[in-house]
Amino acid sequence: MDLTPKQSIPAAESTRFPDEVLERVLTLLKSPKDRNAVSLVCKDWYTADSWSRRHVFIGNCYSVSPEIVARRFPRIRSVTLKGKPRFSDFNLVPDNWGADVHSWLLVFASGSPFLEELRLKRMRVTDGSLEFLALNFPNFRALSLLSCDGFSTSGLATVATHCKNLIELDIQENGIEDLSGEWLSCFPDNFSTLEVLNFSNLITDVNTEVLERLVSRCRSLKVLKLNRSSSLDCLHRLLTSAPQLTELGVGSFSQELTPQQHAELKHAFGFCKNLTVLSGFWDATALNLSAVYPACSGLSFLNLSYTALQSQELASLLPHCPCLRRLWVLDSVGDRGLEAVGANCPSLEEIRVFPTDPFDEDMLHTVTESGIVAVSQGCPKLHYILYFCRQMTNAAVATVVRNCPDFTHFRLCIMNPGQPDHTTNQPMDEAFGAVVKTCKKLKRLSISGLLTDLTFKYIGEYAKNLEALSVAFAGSSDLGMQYVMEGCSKLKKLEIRDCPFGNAALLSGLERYESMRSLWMSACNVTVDGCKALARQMPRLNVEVMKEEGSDDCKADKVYVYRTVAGPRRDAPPSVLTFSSL
Amino acid sequence: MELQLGLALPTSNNKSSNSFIFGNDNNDMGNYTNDEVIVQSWLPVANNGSDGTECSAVNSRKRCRFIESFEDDHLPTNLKTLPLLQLAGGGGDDNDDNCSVVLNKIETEDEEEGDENDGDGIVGWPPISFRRKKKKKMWNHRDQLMTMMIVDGSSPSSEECGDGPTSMYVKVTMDGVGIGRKVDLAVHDSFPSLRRQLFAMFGLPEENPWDGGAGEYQLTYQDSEGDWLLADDISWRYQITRSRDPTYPSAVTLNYIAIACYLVKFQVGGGGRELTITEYGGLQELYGVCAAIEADEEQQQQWQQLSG
Repeated sequence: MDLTPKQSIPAAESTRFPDEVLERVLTLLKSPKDRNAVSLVCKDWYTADSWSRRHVFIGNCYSVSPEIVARRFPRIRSVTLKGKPRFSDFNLVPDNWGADVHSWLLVFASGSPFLEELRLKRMRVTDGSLEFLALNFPNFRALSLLSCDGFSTSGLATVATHCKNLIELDIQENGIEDLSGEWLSCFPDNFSTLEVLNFSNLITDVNTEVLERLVSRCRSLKVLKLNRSSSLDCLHRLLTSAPQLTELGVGSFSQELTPQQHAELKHAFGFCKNLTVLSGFWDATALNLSAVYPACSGLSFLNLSYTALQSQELASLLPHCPCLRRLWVLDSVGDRGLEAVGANCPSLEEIRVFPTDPFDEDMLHTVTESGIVAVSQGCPKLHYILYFCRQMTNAAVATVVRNCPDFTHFRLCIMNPGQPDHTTNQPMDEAFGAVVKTCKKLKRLSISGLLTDLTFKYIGEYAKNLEALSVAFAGSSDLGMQYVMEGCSKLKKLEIRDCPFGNAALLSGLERYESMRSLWMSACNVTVDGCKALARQMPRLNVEVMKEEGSDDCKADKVYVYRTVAGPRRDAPPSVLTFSSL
Repeated sequence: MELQLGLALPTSNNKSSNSFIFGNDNNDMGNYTNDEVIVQSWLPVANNGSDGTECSAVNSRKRCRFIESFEDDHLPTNLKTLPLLQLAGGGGDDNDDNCSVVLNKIETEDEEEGDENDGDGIVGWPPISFRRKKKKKMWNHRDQLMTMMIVDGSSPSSEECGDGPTSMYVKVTMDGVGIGRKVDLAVHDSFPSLRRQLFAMFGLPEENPWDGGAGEYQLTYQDSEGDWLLADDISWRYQITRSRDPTYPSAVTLNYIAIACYLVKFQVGGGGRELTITEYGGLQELYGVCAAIEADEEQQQQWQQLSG
C-alpha cells in the first residue's frame, strides 16, 4: 500500500502565522523586555513587533535617534524618555547640557502623529515644545513631566487649551517658571476627560472655583494632587465632589481650623474610601493631620516628606494605616517615630527617610542606626530603603538585612562623607558586605561612609543581580572599580563621584559599557587621555567629558559614558567634549 | 548686640563673583562658595571638626568647611568686640589697606543655576534633589510671598508682621575689615542707595552711577536658606516684606539681616533674611539711627559718637 505523503506544506509556510495573528498575539505582551526578546527571534517577528509596538521606553535619549525610533516603530503611541544623567538632580550637570525633547517631537509629528502619551524625565522642555505638542498630535492624551526644566506655566496653558482628549497631566519636581495659575482656567468648559491631575509642583494660586468645577466635571478623575496654595476649604469641597479619588495630594495643611471646620473636613475624608495614596502635607499640624484618619484604612502609600512631623504625630497617625506598604518621611520623626513605624506597619515594603535639613550640623533632626533597625524588626517585608542619617554602624546594617533579606533597593546615605562606624571607628565595609551577601535579589545599591576597596570586592563577588550602583567618597584604589566591573555582570548604571579611580579603573570596564546604560564618574582621577583611549577602542560608546573652569587641561572632571547607536551627539554645549572613535 | 567681625579670605581662584562668607551665627546654612577654591585663612583653622567631618576625612581636593573655621566659638574672642570707633570716618587708611588685599575685580558671569550650593563645601552633597530642597524652601517663604503681594497692592498690611517697629537694623561686616556696623534697612529704598551707603561706610571710592552693574563690586545676599543670590535680581519691595517674616521670633526689635556684597556682609539675627536699606541723609544720620535703637549702652555711646 502506498503511503501517500501528507499534502506537503512548504517548510516556511508551515511555521508562518499570518502577520495579523502574530501581531494580535504580541499585543498581549506588554513588558518592553519581553517585546525586545520577541523582536530578536527572527525577521518576521521583528517586523511584527515593530508594527505592533505601542509603547517604547528609552532610558537615555542619546542612545538612539528619534529617526531610528520612528522608523522602527511607526505606530508608536506612547513614549517614555529620560534625558540628563541622574546627578543633574544634585547640580552636577550644567544647565545647557542638552536632552531637549523638541527634536523628538518634530520627528514624531511627521512620522507618528498618533502619539498619545509622553512621559519625560530630566529632559529640557520649552514652552515652544509644549505648544508644538498640543497643536500637532490630535490624539494626545497624557503628559508627564518629572524633573524637567525649561518651560513655564504658559506652556501648560497651551496644553490645557488644545489637548481636547487630555486624560493625564502630571507635573512633578520640575524647574518650571511659575508665572501664574491661569493655565488651569484654560481647560474648556465642556472638558471632562481628565483622570490624572498633578500640579503639586506649582506655587502660584489657581482659581479654586475653576478647579472645583473641573473636578466635579471630570467624573473619571482618579488622581488629584494639589499644590501648596490650595486651602483646606477648597480641599473639603473637592473631597465632597470627588470621593472616587484613589490618589490625593493635599495642599497646605497648616491652616487653623475651627472645630466645626475640622469635623467637616474629617467627614469629607470619610467619603474617600478608595484612597490608596496620600501626599502633599506641606507643614501639617498635628491637629489637622487627625482629619485624614478616616481615609487611611486602605492607604498603601503615604508621603509625608514635605512636612517635619514629630515622632508622636507619626505614632498617632500610623495605627490608622494598617495596610501601609510605602512610607516617605522626614528624619524629624526621629528614631522614636521609626519605632512607631516598626510597631504599626507589618506590611511595609518601602521606607524613605529624607533629611529635614541636609546641612544641619547640630543634629537637631536626625535618625540613627536604631531607627533603621527598629523598622526592620517590625517590617519583615521591607525591600526598599532610602535612608539619610548622620551615623551608622556595621552591626546595625547587618541586623537590618538579617531581618529583611529581600532587599531589592538599598540606598544608605551617611551624610558626612567618609564617616566610619561611629562605635568602632572602622570602615563601613562590613555593612555593605552584609547587604550584598544576604540580599540576593539586590538590584540597586547606594553606598556611603568610610569605605575601602574591600566594599567593592564584596560587591563584585556577591551582588550578582546588581543593576544600579551609586558610589561617593569611597574606595582606596583602581581595584575598587575593577572589582565591580569584573563581578557585576548585570550592571546597567554606575555613578561614581569623588573616588580615587583613575584611567586603569575606567578602562577595566571596557567590555561592560556596551551592555550598560551609562557610566558617570566625577571628581575622580580620570584624565582626558584615558577617555580618549576608551573612545578609541569602543566605537559604539559616546564618551563625554564636562570640563570645569580653571581645571587642568588633562583632567576629566566629569565623565559620562553611554552606549549609543546614534553616534556622537551634535547638540552638546561647548563645555562638554565628546570623544568617539569616529 | 555684639558687633560681629567679618573677615574675608584672599581668594586664589579666578572664577566668579562669589565672596567668602563665613560664620553666620544666626544661620546654620553658614558659608559656601560656588567654586572649588582653596582658601588661605589667616585665622587658625580647626581642621578637624569635632564631628570629624570633611576636612579630615575627605580627600584634600575638597574645600574645607568654612563654617568650622569660623563658627563663633572658633573666633578669637577679641575679634568679637572690637569697638566701632576704630573704623570711624568711613574706614580710613587701614581699611583701605585691608580692602586692597581682598578687592578683586569680580567677573560678571552669572552664577550658573546648576552650581547652586547650599551652605556646604561640597557641590551636590548630600544627594538630595535640589528641587526637593527648593520646594521646601519656597514653601517656607510662602507667607512672605503673600505679604509681598499685599504690600504691592498698596494695602496697608503689615499686621502679619509680628515686629512692630518699622526699622530693620542690619549688622554689617565687611570682608577684610575688623569691625562691623549697623544700618537701618528701613531707611533705604533701593539697592543703589544701599551700595552708596556701604561704600561710604567702608571708605571705598564712589561708584560711577552709570556703570549699570558692571562695576567692581557686586551685591549679593544670603537668604534664610543660605542661598547666595544677586541682590539686584530682587525688587526692593520684596526685600522689605520678606524681612518681615512672621515665623521668626518677633520679640526682638532689631532685625539683623544678612547680605553679602562682594566685600560687605550683613548678618541677620533670627535666621537670615533679605534686607532692605533705605537711604540715609548721610553716615551721621545712619549712625544716629543706630544709636537710637541700640540696646547695649556702650555700643550706643559709640554710635552716638560716630554720629557727631
